[in-house]
Amino acid sequence: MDVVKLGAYLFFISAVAAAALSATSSFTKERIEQNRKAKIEASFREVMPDAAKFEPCKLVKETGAVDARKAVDAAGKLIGYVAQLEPSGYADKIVVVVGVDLDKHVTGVSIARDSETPGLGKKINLPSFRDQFKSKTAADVRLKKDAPEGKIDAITAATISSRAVTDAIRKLLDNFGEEPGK
Amino acid sequence: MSILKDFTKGFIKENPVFVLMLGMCPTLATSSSVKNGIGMGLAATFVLACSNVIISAIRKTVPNKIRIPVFIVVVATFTTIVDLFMEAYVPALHKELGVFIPLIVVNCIILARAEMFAQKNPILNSAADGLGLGLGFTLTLAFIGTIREILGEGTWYGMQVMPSDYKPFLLAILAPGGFICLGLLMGLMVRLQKAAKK
Amino acid sequence: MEPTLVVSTSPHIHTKDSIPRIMWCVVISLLPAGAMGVWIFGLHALWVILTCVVAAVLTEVVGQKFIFGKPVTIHDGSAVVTGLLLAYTLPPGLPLWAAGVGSVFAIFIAKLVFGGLGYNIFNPALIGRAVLLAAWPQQMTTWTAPFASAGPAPDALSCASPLAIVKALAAGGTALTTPGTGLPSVLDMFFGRCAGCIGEISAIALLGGAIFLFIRKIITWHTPLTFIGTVAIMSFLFGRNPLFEIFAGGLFLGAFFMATDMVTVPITGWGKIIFGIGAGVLTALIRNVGGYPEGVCYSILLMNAITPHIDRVTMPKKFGAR
Repeated sequence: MDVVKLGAYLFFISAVAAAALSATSSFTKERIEQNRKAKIEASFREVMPDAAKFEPCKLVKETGAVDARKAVDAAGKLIGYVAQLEPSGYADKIVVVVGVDLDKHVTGVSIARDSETPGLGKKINLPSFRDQFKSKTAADVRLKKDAPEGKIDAITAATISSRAVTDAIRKLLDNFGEEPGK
Repeated sequence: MSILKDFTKGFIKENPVFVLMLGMCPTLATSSSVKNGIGMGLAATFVLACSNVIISAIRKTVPNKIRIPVFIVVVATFTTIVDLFMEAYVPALHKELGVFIPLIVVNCIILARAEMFAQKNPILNSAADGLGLGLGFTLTLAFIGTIREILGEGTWYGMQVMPSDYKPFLLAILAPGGFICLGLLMGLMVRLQKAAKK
Repeated sequence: MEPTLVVSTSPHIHTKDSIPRIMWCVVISLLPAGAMGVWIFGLHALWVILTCVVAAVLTEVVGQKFIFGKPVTIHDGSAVVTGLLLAYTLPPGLPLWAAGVGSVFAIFIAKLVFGGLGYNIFNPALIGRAVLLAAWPQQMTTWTAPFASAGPAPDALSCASPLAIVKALAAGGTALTTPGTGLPSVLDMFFGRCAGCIGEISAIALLGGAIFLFIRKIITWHTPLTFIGTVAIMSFLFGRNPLFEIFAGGLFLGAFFMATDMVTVPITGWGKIIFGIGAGVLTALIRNVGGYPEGVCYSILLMNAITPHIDRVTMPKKFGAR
């Protein structure tokens, strides 16, 4: 008999909690959804400012892209691609969003998420680092300290983070191509 | 009078971090800057005060055998509410505090106060206890955050306070710096308490 | 009449060894390596060494006298040794304020807070280095080229340390930033004509000091030999030049002077051998697979942490006990 009584009490408490939660959830759901969408859209738009609309697409596996969009301008013409890369940084994955135009030039780089060291690796978020990639091709995207033809300055004392981002973008450009049949 | 006492004891006499030694994990993780410390502290204060009130209100009906599951359900509910509201209205802070918000559920301060205080005391006292300890927790986080942020980044609440050629002592905002800072402050607290008794 | 029988409690056999005697022997044995560092990198290296030693001694005095209220024990020379060892693991161009902070951390946090000499779990000098590397990575990885300048740090030509060059090459790089600073030869590295920390570059000077300590029976062969041997074997397995790897970085300094510290290393012979092998494996792993170019410091610190457990496992059984 005891079990039934305890069970009923717990059930009652949980039911009240569930009701409170579903009320909160329905109240905040729309805003959260908007925030999330706006954040991803904003990073897409940042790396591909000329695009009017983004359409889902798939890139070949060798690029390392985990997600990608076709960028279309106001007239409906394809102007490039936006790809999401997830190279391993100094701590955890760095989520990098890269815009690439039809000539395989980088149009922009944005860091969507990272767990790099504050004050060091976190500096990959600074425009002074990210903007170096603009209008570069695969051959240029190397750290200056790794190769003479490289055009990218690593962040001082954060070579690992800088190299992770740079190498991922080069891999994307080297193997760029849309998955056939999609 | 005792309600006021229940409120003020959380700041020094029963300071959750330095005296009760509760909530070490969020303390270390979110005290790397003043802003994070205050954000985490206030979120925990809200959950602590609300859960204290509810638990105190239902204290006479809760069967002893299942009190822990019941407390956890109450705490988890308020934590999820805070989580959802923060994601909806302060997404930047929510992103910064990340995984620590859901972890308020298992923040030992909250369950400890439910066990030690709220289930034995009337509603108003429990509310005062929750608010007092929560604010004491917030102030402590802000205090440690002040030390770590000034040393480690040269800023306070994002504002530059050190001279521009100050080379930030990065260790202070990393995890080991948190441990060292917390340990030294605790040692200092013990020494001050001993000195005060003499 | 002379007394023929003296009655006293055990122990009955004494040696002349005492903490001050051992510590000052270590100081003497460290001098050649320091002299090489100053000769090769210029006067600034000397200032770094002096800053570290003075800051270490001052911290010990202030900490023991005013904060912990204990008798001041600077005459035993252990603070001087810590200061010297810390300075030897720092780049020669390091700003003096950073060297001072490292010394304060080494003595106060790693030694006095744990209870003073004999109670510290970790090697204080290495904690000092680890703190500095975490706090100011940029200053801690800026190297001075050998014989580049006799002036203060900013004038000196900066370049990469041999292990950093190897790391960059392994990461797929094809050339280096500074022209004319390629990989030094093994012979250069044996004598110390390469970039690196003040006291770690000259293997021959370190070896000289180590032989002196060995003759004086202050260090034993167990840890240094197994440590260096393990690194050599592991380097060979990883496909690197073993000779290059054992002369590169802080391996000689770490193996002879830090992994032989009496406080933070196992007591028994077998324990010391386990310590050496463990530190060697960790060093090779950090160098070859890890993010940092050099791993001697961290591998010794990690082995320090498990030293009490090694001691417990390798302690000889009492005769007749089960």
